[in-house]
Amino acid sequence: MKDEEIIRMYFSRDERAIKATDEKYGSLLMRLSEKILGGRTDAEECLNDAYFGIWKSIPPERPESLRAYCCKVVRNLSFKRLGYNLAEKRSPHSEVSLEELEASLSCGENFSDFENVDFSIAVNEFLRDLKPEMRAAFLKRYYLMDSVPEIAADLGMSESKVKSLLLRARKRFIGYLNAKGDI
Amino acid sequence: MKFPFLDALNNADESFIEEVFEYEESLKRRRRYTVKNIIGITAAAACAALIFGAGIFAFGRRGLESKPDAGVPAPIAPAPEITAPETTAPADVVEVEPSYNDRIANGETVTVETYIGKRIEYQDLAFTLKDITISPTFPEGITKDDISFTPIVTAYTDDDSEDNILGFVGKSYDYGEYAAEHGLPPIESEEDYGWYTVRKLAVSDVIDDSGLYQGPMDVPDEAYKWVFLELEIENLTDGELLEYMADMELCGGEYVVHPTAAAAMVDGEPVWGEAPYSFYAYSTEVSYMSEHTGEELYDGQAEGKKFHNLVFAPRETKTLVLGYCVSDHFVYGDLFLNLHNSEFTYMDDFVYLPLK
Repeated sequence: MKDEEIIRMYFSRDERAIKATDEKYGSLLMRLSEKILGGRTDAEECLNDAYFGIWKSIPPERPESLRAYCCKVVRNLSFKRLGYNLAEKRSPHSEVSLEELEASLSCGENFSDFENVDFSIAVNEFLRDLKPEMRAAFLKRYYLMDSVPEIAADLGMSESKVKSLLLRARKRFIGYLNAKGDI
Repeated sequence: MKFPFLDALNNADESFIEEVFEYEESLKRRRRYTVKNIIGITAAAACAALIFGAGIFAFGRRGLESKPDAGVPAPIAPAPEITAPETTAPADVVEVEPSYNDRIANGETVTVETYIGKRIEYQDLAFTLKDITISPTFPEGITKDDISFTPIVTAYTDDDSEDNILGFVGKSYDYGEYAAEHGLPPIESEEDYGWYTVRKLAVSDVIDDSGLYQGPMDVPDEAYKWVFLELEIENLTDGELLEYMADMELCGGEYVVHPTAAAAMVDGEPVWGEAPYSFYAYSTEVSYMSEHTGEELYDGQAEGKKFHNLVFAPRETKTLVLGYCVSDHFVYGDLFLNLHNSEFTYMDDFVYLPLK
């Protein structure tokens, strides 16, 4: 089923929209949530919350890309849930790898140093400046939480190249934030 | 928020995310296209052979029928001699259509010749390509079947601006991330990068059992010379080598040629690369590196120069053998082994490697 049809179903409050979304993107979304939360049970709950959130938000939202929209909702909720889990001392399996991801993405910088950066603008400006290849690698790694081998396979490049792209992208990212922070 | 940087990325516009999916899908389509193309070429060749064969047969038969002694069995002609395939010929020619997200705007068809691995990084074909033909000459006695690897084509224009780099072979990578993924000790400080002690660093004249090296370095003036290096590296455990054997560079004068090898066999097992014996071949020829800044070293393609390939052979424990063929335009070269993983720092010890 095409995205437009699914979105139309959301707009007409047809509950089959959720099933259609799940059938089309469920595995992608589950994978994303699992990568963040580290456990299937949490991810399943998160996914249910996400479907509910999507149901509530469309309409009035009319996403241009249902897939990307769903990913965003799921990612957002997964991180929120992760925060809750950590606060409750429920250590998720993925915490370690997420810490590594976070550490590599931060390049050793403190997030608090970028307090005056408007991330909703900065992130998108940074992404816009990247070439598609680097942008894809960067987002697959840090947004979709794919592993380097996965990215290499998906993008048809060597792991070494993926790492090199990521290294450059991270440096640019932090450089960009630094520049924005100085303004 | 424990992961603020990761969380901040949730601000990414959905269009970028969708673009990732589309990018991936377009690559998959392109790969399918290539496979189809190769199959098509093969099928076409087979068909042509069949048609040709049928034609010969028909022609022979008609000729036979027209002769007065038709029906008399002709002497059996000797079978055509089957010659071994040329080892120097590229196995496949893959035409890459200049369609990828309209970045090749001038409509040129890019032809990339490759062999064996058929791995082409299409996504880098963003500009006008020049001379990225890979057609290695193997030393006598060596066939491509003796060497198995996956060349990665990297293309450059003759414009040395960064934007005209059509891809690169990973010169540097993030050890920290890699270490984390592979359970290696993290790097706490710059000092922790450290150097592995190279106990023996010698040019090996003859590597008989590999069958790859055919003589001393001062081979006659051929297109390529093959040089093998045999390294024994201390403080190394199996599998670690790949973290540290980042690349090696052959320097001559102000030019730096970096074949950019990142492949190793330790105890007969490949420790880097997607496939056994895989390596990264740096296809551009000479890069000028005025300062060892560590990034963006690929300054374009020097006219008339050959490129380098690397092969390697399994050796005994903890010995890495790297081999590479170099074109004969280098008068001298100093070999630097860069065992560092990310920056272009150089070992104090290096071997002076006269190539000619």
